[in-house]
Amino acid sequence: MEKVVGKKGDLASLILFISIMTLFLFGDVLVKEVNVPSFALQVGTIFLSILLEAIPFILLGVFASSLIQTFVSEQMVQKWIPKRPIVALVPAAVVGALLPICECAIIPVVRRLITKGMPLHVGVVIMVTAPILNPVVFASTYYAFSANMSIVYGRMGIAFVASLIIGLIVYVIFRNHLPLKSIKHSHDHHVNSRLTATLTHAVDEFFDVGRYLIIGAFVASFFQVVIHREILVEVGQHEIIGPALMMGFAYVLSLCSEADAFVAASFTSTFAPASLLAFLIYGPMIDFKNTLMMLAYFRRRFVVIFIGVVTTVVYVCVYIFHFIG
Amino acid sequence: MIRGVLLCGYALLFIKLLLSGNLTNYIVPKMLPFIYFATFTILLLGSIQIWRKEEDGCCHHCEGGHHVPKTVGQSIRVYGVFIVPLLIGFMFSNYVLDSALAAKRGVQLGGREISEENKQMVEQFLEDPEGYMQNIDNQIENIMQDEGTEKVEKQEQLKEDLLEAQTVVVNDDKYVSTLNFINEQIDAMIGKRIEITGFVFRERDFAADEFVVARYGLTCCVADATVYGILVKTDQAAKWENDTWVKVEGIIDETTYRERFVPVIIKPSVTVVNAPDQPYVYEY
Repeated sequence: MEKVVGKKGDLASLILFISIMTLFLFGDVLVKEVNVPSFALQVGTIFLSILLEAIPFILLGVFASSLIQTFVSEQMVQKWIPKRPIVALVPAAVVGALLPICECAIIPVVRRLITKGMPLHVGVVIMVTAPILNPVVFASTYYAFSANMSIVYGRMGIAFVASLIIGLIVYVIFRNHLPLKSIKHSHDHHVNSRLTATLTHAVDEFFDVGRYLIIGAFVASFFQVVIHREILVEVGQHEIIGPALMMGFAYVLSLCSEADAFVAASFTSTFAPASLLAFLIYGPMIDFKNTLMMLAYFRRRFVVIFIGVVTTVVYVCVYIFHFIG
Repeated sequence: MIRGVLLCGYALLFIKLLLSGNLTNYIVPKMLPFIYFATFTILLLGSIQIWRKEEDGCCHHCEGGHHVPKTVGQSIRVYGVFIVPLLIGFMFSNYVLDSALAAKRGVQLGGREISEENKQMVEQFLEDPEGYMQNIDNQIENIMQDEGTEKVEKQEQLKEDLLEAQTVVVNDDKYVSTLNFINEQIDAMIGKRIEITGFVFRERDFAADEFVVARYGLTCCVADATVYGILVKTDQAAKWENDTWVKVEGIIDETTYRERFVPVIIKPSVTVVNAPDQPYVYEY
């Protein structure tokens, strides 16, 4: 580590190491005597489960991102992307659909592609489509809603349309800005091998994004335990408030897009289809956990505007669908 | 250095959860390959981090890119949050969700609207059971033709088995689909015997003679846990407290709850059992 920290840093590491080993060996014995309220245990359990589930995928995303950083050049990216900005939206959505990646893994990848010269709006489209239009998510939605195929196709269809509109709006607003936190790139570690460079990047990025993930997961698990689902039922059938409420619910729950269909299915009897669709489309695009992860990578102003755009577009799309369907 | 130690700590946490089998208290078994991958990579990265320190730390010139904290105070602020999950994981990993959370999530009892159409179906069945069954078989065949995938076939097989069976045994690996099927084809299932194991749970508005035998079903992790169960009606209901694990054998019937028809087990014999090794069901 840094020279400034020097010996103190080493000492701290040593202490940390010893405490971790103690916990590893005797952790559960230590707490036998302590009486922890079940509320705290519930929050803790859900918190850790969100993390355990996300960590492998974040690692994958972080690795993919470091590989791109090390092996893909700006010229390659520019060659692949269609010159006309609007035309580039559709292939972006298709790329998003082909990638079987969830929202945790896609953010590091997209931000890296953007630093490599991919236009922002194209990156955004990939970011919002990948977690929904994806074979695994289609399968889980199908099993959860096999009795109601309009939800399954509605989810995929609306997500596709909404992502194109979102990309378009982002293009109009941020045509000439790059809202990344660090655009400057002096990453020429005079390192002997590209492998070491890749691994080093992966660790740095893991810690950058991990901090936000942990905070996000904690807040999400708190909401998970606090919210009494019966309260939602009261306003569930309302056709204007219903979808908005379910979007807010999806936001705070921060579920993985592969699993949210089953949670949505548990609301089938109390919520109108439009509300369920709002939940299923909005949740994977934005939730508390990935808002914080985006803050690790993008400027605050962009994150706020992006959330505003996604929220409006998804709501309007679901509303229109409600009237057509 | 601290990063390296933290990463190794996470690897140890994964290893401990894997060894103790407590990992399935958090996430579903089908995610295990990902966890192995994560354990291996984190351990590798951690070792490299600790070892890299010897080379005079390489990363201070990533200006603007990543912030490596400069003082001990900063380190604590930055890395403190990484310690919390370790604490929880090492100390409380044997906690299993109980009925306290089920009360907030609500239990999936299935059921259907009390509507004219449903009444017609009941009448239809009463008048002409065979014709009705034929009808259902046709419907199933139609679905079969639409979907040829293996999983769907398995589901159809389950449905046929259930329609023929005199006693429905609700197994862990088909827990949710069996309950769903009882719901969908309640008319055909009424009168059959059923065997089911789960924990006792009550909604606030249950009558004194009602409780639910329920399980948590997980799709990815505990965050998406949903409570699935079936209602039990017995005069002795008060004998079993919430969170008691019981095996219930009885007869399937239908009752009304919150203005819906829901399946119910009547004339049950209830035995208290030990909590199963896998308290959750992982079906999808």
